[in-house]
Amino acid sequence: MNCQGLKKIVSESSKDLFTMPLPEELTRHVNGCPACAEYVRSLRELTGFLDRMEERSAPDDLWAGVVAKINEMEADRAGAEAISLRRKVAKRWLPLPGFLKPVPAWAAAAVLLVVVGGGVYLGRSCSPQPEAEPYGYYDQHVILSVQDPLADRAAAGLMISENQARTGEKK
Amino acid sequence: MILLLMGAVTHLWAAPPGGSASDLVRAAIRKEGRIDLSGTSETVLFTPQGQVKAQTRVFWSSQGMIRTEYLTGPAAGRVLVTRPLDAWEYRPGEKKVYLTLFGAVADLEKDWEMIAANHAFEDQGTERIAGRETRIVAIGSKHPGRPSRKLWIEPQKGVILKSEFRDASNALASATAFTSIDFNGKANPDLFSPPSGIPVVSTEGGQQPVSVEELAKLVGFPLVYPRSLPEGFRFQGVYPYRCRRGAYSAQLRYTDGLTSFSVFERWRVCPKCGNEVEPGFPWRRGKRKVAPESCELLAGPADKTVKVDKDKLSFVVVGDLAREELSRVAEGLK
Repeated sequence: MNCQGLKKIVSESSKDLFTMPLPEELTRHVNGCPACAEYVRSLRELTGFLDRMEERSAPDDLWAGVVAKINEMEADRAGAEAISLRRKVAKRWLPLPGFLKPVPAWAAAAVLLVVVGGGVYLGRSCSPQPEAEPYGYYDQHVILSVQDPLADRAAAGLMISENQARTGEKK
Repeated sequence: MILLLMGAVTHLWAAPPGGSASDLVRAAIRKEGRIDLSGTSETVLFTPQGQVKAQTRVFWSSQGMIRTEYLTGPAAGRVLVTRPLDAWEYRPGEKKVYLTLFGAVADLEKDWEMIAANHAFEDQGTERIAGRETRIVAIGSKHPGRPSRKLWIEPQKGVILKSEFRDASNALASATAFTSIDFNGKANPDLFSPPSGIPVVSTEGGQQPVSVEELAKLVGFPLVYPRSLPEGFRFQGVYPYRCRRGAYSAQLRYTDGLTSFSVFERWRVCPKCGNEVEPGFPWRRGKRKVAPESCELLAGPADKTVKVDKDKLSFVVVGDLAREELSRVAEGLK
C-alpha cells in the first residue's frame, strides 16, 4: 500500500470508514507515513464534527447541484485529463497541502453542509429580536381613554410616547 | 308686570354667551370632533422627571373624527386619529399603525347624565385663546380626592380651545391649548384613514369587541370583578388585549363620566412567556425565559398602576385615581 493507493481507497469509501477501525493494510501504511496519518486524522475530525451536527433540510435545489457536481467530477475522473483538471480546480478553490488532495466527494458535500449550517445559524442569531410591546397596560388604558368626553387626546398620545421612551431607557 | 319684564330683560342681557357653565360644557362635549376645523396646538405634560412638550397640528371632521399630528417633542412624526368606533396611531419609527377598537359609539346623553351626577361646574371668567374670547369653566368631582379639569370654551362654536388637567393630588398633570384655529374649510377625509401600504396592528389580536362570556373564553378563566367601586363609578365595558407574545388579558373598564380606570386580568404564570425558542445552534437553543416582574405590560407610572396576585391570577389596576383608591379596587377583586 502506498500513499496514492490509500487516498484512492479513502476517496471511494463512505464516511463509515472513519467510524470504525481502519483495515489492517491501511493501518500499517498510516503508521509508517506521517502525511497519510495527518490526512486520515483530518478526515476523522471532520466525520466526528458531522456526526455531532443535527440534520437539517437543505434548500431543494442544493442537492441537485451537489449531485450534478459529483457526477461531473466522477465522469471526469475516468480520464487522465480529468485528474489534471481536478487538480487545477482544487488549486483554484482551496490551496490545501498536497496530502489533502483529492478531496473525497462526501467531504466536499460536508463542507457545503457546514457552510449552509453556518448560514442558517448566523441567520437565526442575527434575526431581529421580537419588537417592543406596542402598548403596555398603562398605554392601553390611556389609548382607550381618548374615547372619553373631554379627553385631552394630544396629551394622551404624548403620554404613550413618553411612557414608551422611559420603558426603553430602563431596558 | 313691568318689573317682571324688566327683570327678564336684565337677566337675558346678563346671561353669558353659551348659557350656564354646565350648558357650555355639555355643548362642548357634543361638538368634540363633530365640526370641521383645523389648527395648531401646544401640549405640555408635567411628569416627575420634568415637562414634556409637543407642538401639534389638529384636524377635526364633522364625522366625529379628530387627527393629531405631533410636530415636535418625543412623539414627533406620530399621528393619532380618533374615530367614533376606534383610534389608530401611526409610529414613523416602526412604520406601523396600531389600531384600538372602542366597541361602541359613545352615547353622549348617557355620558352626560353620569358627568352631571358626579361633577360640579364653575364659571371662572374669560380669556382670549388663539385670538378668540373663551369662557373658563372649572370641573371638579363631587367626590374628594379625584382629578379635576379646567376648560377654556369658545362659546359661539362650543369648542374647547384650552384645557388643563389636574391629578388626584391636585397637581397640574397636562395642558393643551390651540395656538391657531381655522373653522373654514374641510379636512381631506383621507387624513382620518390609516396611510396606505403601512401594516395595521391591532392590540385586540384581531378580535372584535366581545361580550363578557366571549372574553372569559378567550382568556381561559371567568372574569373577576371588584367587590366595590369608587363612588360614582360604573362598569363601562370589557376589551380583549393581546400582548405581542400572543397571551390574552381581559380589560375591564370603569368610568365616572370623565375619569376612568381599568382592571387588567391574566394568568399569573403567563402561558406564552418562556415558550419562545432562542436563536442559535440546536445544542445552544433553549426557551426564552421572561421573569414575571420584567413583563413589559407592567411598564407605567408607579402612582397610576397597582398590581396584585391572587391564586392563579394576576390583576393590574391602572387609572388616574389616587393610588389608595386604585389599591382598594385591587384588594377588592374577588
